[in-house]
Amino acid sequence: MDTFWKWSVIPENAGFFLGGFRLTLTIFAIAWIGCWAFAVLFGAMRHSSRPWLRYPAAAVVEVIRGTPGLMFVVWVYFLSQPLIGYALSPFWAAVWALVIHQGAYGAEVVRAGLSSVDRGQLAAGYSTGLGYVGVMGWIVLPQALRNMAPAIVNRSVALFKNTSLAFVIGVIEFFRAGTIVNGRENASFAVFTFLAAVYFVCCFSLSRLGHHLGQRPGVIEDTTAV
Amino acid sequence: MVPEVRRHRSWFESPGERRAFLLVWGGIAALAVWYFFFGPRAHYDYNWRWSVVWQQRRFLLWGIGTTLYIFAWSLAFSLVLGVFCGIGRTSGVRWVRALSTGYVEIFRNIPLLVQMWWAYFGLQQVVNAALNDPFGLRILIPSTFACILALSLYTGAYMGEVVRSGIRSIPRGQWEAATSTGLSRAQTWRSVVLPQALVIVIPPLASEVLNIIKNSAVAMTIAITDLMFYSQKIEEDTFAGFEAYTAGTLLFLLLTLLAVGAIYLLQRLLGLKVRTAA
Repeated sequence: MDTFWKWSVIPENAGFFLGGFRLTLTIFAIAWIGCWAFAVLFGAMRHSSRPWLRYPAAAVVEVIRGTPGLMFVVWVYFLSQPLIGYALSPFWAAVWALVIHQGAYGAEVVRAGLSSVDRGQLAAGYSTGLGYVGVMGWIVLPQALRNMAPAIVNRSVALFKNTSLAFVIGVIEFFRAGTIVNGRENASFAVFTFLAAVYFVCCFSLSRLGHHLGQRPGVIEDTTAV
Repeated sequence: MVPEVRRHRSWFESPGERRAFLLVWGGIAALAVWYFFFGPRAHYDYNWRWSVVWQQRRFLLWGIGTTLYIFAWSLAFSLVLGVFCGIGRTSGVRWVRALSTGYVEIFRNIPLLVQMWWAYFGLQQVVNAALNDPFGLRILIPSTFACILALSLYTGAYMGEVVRSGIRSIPRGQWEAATSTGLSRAQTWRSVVLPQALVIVIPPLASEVLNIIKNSAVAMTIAITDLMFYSQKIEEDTFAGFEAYTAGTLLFLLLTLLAVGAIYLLQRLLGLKVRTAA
């Protein structure tokens, strides 16, 4: 079975793989920023003591967390046309889906981080005359970030893994590049082992960073399999 | 504006807050209404056909059946893998620890999609290369097998971490007490550590169980006819993409809610104080 050891397909298609990998990194970078913007907004809303902020945010976050990421990607892709009247391109549909889906998981991280800071600190901050932004920015967030750091890294690993879901709506990112090469060369063992190895190296080095940050008591480690 | 640090509060504390509420949510609602009726794409005509969801209901039901089938097998295998892996990671034997750590790190850091395709297409090539039948006989790995294999290994790695933290949370004093009452290592595991650890880990384990349902949607890509697959089939047959995927999403939500209810009942039946995982 000579197709078994067709490792040569990797260097032969290196340019194509590299293009796919660049697109994966692009999706990751854009979605990472959007994801944490979403997460901070909804996490802060859920952390709020005002019911009219807390319950709507909780409903949104829990509904999104209850749906599969893959379903969410295709759903956003098809939703755009009836709802906003424009068909999103597959790239932007994937980015938005990842932002909202991973952002909902991120919101839980942010909420846990904010809750890990004692509420007395908030009260103390207000009593020194700071406003909401001042208290959050100068007192709560710096402490919350220290506790959240490993969870943020773990969420980023999950986001990086989930960029591969963009493949279902036709974005030629790293995984789809692999499936295209496999379809042409019929070297599934070599191609998918290569894909797995590259994803592993990226995610493992990221998660080592998270592990390095998380060697303290009281930190939040979010290790959800989504 | 000094917020009070109190547990129970009324919805609005001041008229200003009520105004803020109306401004924020009313503004969002008004913006949505404006966009629909007067926005730049107000006259865009989308042909809503929610009836196709009911017409094609048998596909959705078949899909739920397959999803539950995959879920049941993956749940069984990943629980076993997770418990053994969690024990292995706290083991004193170096090679056992290395093996389970390697397993966890490898399967947690590769996307499930890649694992599933590896298990379906890559494994097929490995098996056939090893077989190397002179008459050109080729083995086709069933996609159900590949899917359950990948899903169990992936979730098992996460469950292993959960079980490990549960075992770690049992104080050392209990080990020493068990040893001093004359229990062997195996007896200590069986009747002291595991019964406590497995109860502690129920809430985080429950969230991994829900993740199996959600992650099983990925099986659609290797032609498992699950709920996700049939949502796509309805979209392809009727072009009512938004309706089909909305129905699929709601059904997935329903499945996870049912699982949450089942776990809640399980906790009640075991006589535990009900806690929920984040």
